[in-house]
Amino acid sequence: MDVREAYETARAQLRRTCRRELGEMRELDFRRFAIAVGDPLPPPADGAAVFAPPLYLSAVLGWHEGPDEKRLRPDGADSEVLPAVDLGSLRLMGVGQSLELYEPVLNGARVVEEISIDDVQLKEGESGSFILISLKRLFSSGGRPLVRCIETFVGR
Amino acid sequence: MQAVKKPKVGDTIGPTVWRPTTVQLFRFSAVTWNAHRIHFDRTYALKEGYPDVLVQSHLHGAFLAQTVLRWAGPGSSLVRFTWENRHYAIPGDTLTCEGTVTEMQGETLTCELTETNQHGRVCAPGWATVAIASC
Repeated sequence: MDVREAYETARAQLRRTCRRELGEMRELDFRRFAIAVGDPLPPPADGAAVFAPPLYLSAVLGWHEGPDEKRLRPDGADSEVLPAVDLGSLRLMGVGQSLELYEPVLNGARVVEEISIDDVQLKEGESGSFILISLKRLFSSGGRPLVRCIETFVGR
Repeated sequence: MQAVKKPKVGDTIGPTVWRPTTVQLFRFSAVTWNAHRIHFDRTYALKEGYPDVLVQSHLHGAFLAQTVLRWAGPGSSLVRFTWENRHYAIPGDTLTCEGTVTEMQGETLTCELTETNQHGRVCAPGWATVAIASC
């Protein structure tokens, strides 16, 4: 799929919302994420609530076992990064995120994500055509919003 | 440096220095279930025109977020946060995150942040609104 085909494919899916269950949040994963960032969570304390680091929900790319290796894209990425649309082997690089954080993410919470393509633009650069694709992602638990995220990628 | 009294406009945040390693990048990809080769496969990264594997987009964001939260103190929390990836970073880079308070409203501050490498190149600007736990 070339860039223009990817642009047309993404445009056809604009604002169609996909919903996926992310499962139950685990303290161990919060702690591993914090350690991987280089800023460990405080030691466990009896009865104390444990919250996810603020970028945890929007940084995790895969919430389930994912495809076997043969079905990954050539660059190693999982097509799940864009569940709303399959852009084939288009190479995607993250440009950034804009987050609104409403409530802390608690150990044990069951989280749902709603994701849609918010915008897609076809651009010309020095090294050829590329697309800018923005995803709107809403994470919620028990019907309450936790994090709203606009995430933008460059696709070549 | 941590805020010990009520912040005011113009206060400096940080600096906090982060030095990513290949092990860190591997663990961050593992915990985020990210198999993108650009973050662990040096041969692939070189073929793509980079000098080494690349720090993940979200790790840049996390460096900025943790910088302002460390400075704001325990119990503080992000209300809004934005960052943009402008330039890549690789293991062995020295990334300095710092910022400035631009607005105070009650117990909430807004700030601008930058992550700069050892060559003075801005890798990621950021903007945060933080609820301060206590002043």
